[in-house]
Amino acid sequence: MKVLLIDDSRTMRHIQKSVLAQLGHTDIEEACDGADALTKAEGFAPDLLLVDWNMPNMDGLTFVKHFRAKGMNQPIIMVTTESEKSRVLEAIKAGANDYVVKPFTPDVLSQRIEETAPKAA
Amino acid sequence: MEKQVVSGFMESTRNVFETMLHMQVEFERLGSLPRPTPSGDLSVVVEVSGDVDGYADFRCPLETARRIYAMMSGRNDAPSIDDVSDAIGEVAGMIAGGAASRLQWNDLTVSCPSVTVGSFLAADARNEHRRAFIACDCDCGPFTLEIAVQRSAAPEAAACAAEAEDAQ
Repeated sequence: MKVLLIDDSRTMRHIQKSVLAQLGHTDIEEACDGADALTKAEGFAPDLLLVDWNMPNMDGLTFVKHFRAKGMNQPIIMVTTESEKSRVLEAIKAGANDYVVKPFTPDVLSQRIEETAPKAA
Repeated sequence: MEKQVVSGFMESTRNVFETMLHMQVEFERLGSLPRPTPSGDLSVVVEVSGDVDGYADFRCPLETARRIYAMMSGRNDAPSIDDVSDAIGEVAGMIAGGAASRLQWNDLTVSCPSVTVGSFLAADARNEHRRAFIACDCDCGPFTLEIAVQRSAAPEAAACAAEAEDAQ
């Protein structure tokens, strides 16, 4: 499975990569913001995307809207500090499939990835 | 500073450190910001606007930051200052986001963390904000939190104030 990690924090991308590696997913591309991700998504064709919300240049919510507007339907998990109910609903309405609130444990992220990833097949 | 706001930041800090770093945080001192402002090698400011307006400033010695980076990344190599700044920025962002959630600040924009590296940093002395200061300690070392937020003026009140200014 190909995974696109979108987060402006290298540390957070490293943590998420470790979780993905433990699940056996090593085909990973990284993007540091939404604009970077839009460019990389077309060439990489990911099966799953993990998207931060609060990023410079283009935030995660805007990315999700652009991504869906292009007709891309791969599952998206928002991984973000934004945990208010209204924000979660906003993300789901924009096209996110699942939501993980930072801080998270590796177990929680693993579970959400495993629950969401099969839908990509 | 409302006690509720300080408690929200303390609970969020505790949660971030327990979840991401697997360690407890002790809150050693709490009160108004002392003078002179405590220094740190590294400062991360996260600004909030919306229901409330202000900022949170996470400050720590470089050694504390290096240990936090090592715990988060699982790496024991000598990190670059960019790596350390990135990790501490993420910690500060999670603390601010968690506090906003606990305090039910729904209409809120949280900025990307702004990291400054250098000793003897001075706080952003915006006089319109009342500031609270929390001295913290954990297995990675000491750090401080400075919180300066206040409820935003209601739009009607702001409009009235603007009209009053225009009238003068």
